[in-house]
Amino acid sequence: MKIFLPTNIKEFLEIKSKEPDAIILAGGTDLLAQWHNNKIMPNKIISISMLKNLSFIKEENNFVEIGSLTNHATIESNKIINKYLPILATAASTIGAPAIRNMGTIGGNIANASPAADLAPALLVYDAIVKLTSMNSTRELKLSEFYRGYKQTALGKDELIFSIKIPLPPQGVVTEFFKIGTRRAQSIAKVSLAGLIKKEKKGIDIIRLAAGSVAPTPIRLYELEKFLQGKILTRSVISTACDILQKYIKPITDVRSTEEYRRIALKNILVKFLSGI
Amino acid sequence: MYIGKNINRIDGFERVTGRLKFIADYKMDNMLYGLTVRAPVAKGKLKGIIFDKHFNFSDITIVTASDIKGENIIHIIKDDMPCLVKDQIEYLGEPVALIAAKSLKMAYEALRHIKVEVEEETPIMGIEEIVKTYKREPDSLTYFYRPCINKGDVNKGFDEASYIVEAEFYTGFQEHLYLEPQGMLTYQKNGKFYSIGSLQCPYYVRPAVAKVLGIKEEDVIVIQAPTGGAFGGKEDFPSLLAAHTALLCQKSGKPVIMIYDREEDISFTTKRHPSYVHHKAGVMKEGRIIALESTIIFDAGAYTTLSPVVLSRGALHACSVYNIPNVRISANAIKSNVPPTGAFRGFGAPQTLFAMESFIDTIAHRLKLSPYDIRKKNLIKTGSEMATGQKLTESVAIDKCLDRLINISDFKKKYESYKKQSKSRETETLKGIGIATVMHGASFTGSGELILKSKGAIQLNPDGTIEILIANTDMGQGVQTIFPQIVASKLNIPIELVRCPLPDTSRVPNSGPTVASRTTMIVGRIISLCCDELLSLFEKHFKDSVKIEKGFLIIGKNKKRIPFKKAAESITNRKPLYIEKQYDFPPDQVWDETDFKGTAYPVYSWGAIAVEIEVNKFTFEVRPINLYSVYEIGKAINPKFSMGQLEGGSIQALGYGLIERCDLKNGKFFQNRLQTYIIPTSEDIPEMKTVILEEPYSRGPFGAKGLGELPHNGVAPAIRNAILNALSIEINEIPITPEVILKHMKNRGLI
Repeated sequence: MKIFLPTNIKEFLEIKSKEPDAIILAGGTDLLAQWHNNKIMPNKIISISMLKNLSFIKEENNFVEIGSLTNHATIESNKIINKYLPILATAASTIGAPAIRNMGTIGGNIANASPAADLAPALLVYDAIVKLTSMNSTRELKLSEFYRGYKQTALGKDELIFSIKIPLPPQGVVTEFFKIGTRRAQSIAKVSLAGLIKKEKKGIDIIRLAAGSVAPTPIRLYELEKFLQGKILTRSVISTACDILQKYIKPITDVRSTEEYRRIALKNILVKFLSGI
Repeated sequence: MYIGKNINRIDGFERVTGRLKFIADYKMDNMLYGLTVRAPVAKGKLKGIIFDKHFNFSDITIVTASDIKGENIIHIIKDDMPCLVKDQIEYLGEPVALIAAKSLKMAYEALRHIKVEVEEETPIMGIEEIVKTYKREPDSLTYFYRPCINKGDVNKGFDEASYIVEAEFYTGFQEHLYLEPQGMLTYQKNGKFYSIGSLQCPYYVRPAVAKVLGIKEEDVIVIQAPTGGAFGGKEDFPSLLAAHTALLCQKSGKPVIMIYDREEDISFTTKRHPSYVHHKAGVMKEGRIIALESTIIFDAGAYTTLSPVVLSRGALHACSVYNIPNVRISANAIKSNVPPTGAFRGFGAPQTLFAMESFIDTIAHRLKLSPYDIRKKNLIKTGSEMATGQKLTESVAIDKCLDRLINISDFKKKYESYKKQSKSRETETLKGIGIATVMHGASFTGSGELILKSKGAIQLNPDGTIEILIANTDMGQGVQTIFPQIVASKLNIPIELVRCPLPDTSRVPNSGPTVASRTTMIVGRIISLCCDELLSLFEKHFKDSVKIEKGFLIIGKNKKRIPFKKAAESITNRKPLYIEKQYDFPPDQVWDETDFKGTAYPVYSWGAIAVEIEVNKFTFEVRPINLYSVYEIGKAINPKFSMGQLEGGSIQALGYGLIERCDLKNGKFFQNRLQTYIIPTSEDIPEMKTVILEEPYSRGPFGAKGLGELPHNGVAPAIRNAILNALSIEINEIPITPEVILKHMKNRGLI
């Protein structure tokens, strides 16, 4: 087994261009569990723990930018995040336990592309952008486009997730994050939902919704948003919204829950969010 | 006196500072690491074990069934479980061969180059499938044990009853999830085999290893390593594991260690028996139950192992704490193609008590009676006759427990107000409160203790120190501390003079297994008898009457005082004085194993539990808010430890009732890792208020009765009854996950 330990981004990118199949190790909270379960370690690992300048949170030009190595505990307690992106802090606080939150990183949470990733629904409703960097270029794409399928992402073999950029949310919005786990702590989501809403008298002004653990990737519920846009939330509107929701999710029965439960529980928390109970 | 005092754990400092060496910390020169080659199907014929020609196996020790010099049997109750599969595979993961290598990495590498060829057959798996088959074609099933209990005339009772109430109950697998997985090390020295490991019953392991190796029992020495939890999971399984390490050790001539990783441990070691109970009751208008007919089915897994005794205890607790004049119980331990199910805290009682304690609330619900009133009308009292005809003579305290519980939990008020709460109100949660009243028979069932003939000893050393020599293991419950408390109090000497080392079969007599909530009550009595004997030996030695007071012997009428150390020096004459006693089985404890009649247990411990919950209407999650319990245990030798057992056991039972799911998927346990097998964390634990009552048992040391298993018996049904209170839905299966609640609500058209 070969372990590379680059001390700066340039060094990392050089190694990665020579060793495109090497596995990138950040906090290790997902990877170590996977290696342990398979009882096989990868041949080549690039540990990025020394890339200290990838751990940052800053507010600049109407964006909050979070370095990819920023851990969940930092996100949970950071002032900028709590001020502008409160449900991202909430979501971070629901991840695992303190030890995992101290090790796990936002970049890893995205790169692992688990449909149950706790940060994903919040990031999706905040219109998060993933900033990727390689030897020759830097590119940005929407998080919803970064996910390509079950545990698959658009991350190139020569690339590194540099940061997550989030535009400051519009004024006056209400946000909420729901996670239904297998227990109250140390748990993986059976279903999760993030919502961002701004209601006006004449109807919904802004609505963004995203869900976890109900499809191969965390998903932004664009169709549902389109339907709700401008509507007044009557019982029948909410009921139609629930029907639309069922069409766009593809939950499965697995080790944690059932398809039926995921459908109904997600519907119920959507109703709860929309009706503001 | 150290009785009733919160003495700190003798091994506490070493444990919390990480200094204590567990079996996985052991290393020996030339030690090999063993792994198990396992069957790939749940049922089939073993056709061959294929070793990859391109892999170099020269450094790998390999053991298959044909290498076994003794018998290919793991000795437990009935000798039907092979040590390694010879022809027939009975469960997925059944050990087919063993390998050992210089490093664990090498061993894993070798394991990847071994293939097991099989001819697959159709297995039977899962309690639902077993029950379906039982109802359709019962003769096609294999029964390991089918005891019946009969009292009075059930049919007459049904005829006289105002109502007939029926219900069916299911419980699932439960994994012990002890902190420390299974582990064993076997080495040879001077022609003897030494097995040291994480285990509960050294004298179960010894004959099992001897039988497989084909050597004399005396040539096997079993030593308990500090053990990180067991809960019954290390009662029978270590016999198999020690046989495996011993076989590899015998073949290689080297020390061999096997430490299961968590996935292997969850996947292939014992679990709590899944169960099915059908109850039919004849009830009078005011709530008196006059007849109960029950069918009990336990999924025993692939081999007999401990199932007959687990089932017996289950059947004997099936009527719970009620005095029912007419009873007919037929119980069945049925074979299936999963790893043999085994001992787990409560030993069959949590399953049948879940059924009966849920059933009594079902009766109350359907007859519009209060759960408290119906219990009050049916509770057993001193003088009551159990289903086996046993007359209860002493230390019967369930009535007291219940009244105290009602008082501390404010049950009546809460129950009525939660029953009336509007289900449709725009709130997030609904509240509920439920109770359960339970007992646990302490020590072995029936004549078990008579057959065991347990012996314990104390050794007085010339320096005045005393060693307690028993085969009972400390697996967290505190044997190593409680026994010195008993001896130091019996003899009135400082506790610092008394030690209770971990058992080593070359040193300790066979005081029986550490199971069945028997250690303090039964073995504690034996050790008390040893202390009495020591006193009479002192009297013989000093040829006068002897008392001990605060570390001094008081001799004769003129009260001559001799320090205990001096007295010890004098009586021992430089040679340790060894005093051994056997358990004096109560002559009036008569048990008929064939008809299940007589005294099933010498005494019972009692418990009343109330759980208050909130059910989330959107997510169907159940959150326990308050857990009130009142337990009567005879005497709390060490109240802090007793509380630890009661609260810890309650949490384990909470997991059993609410979240611990272990499903079968193609013969494999689906939830087989810590990430997927979900137990409560501290965040899931409600506020706990626990009260200990003491009604001394005349034969227990200082009045103590069994305690360790009791808290596992009542929490799950109390939760179920709380959900009934909150939602008015009878849910007759555990764990009651949100998915289960949803299923039941859908079935009733509520969603």
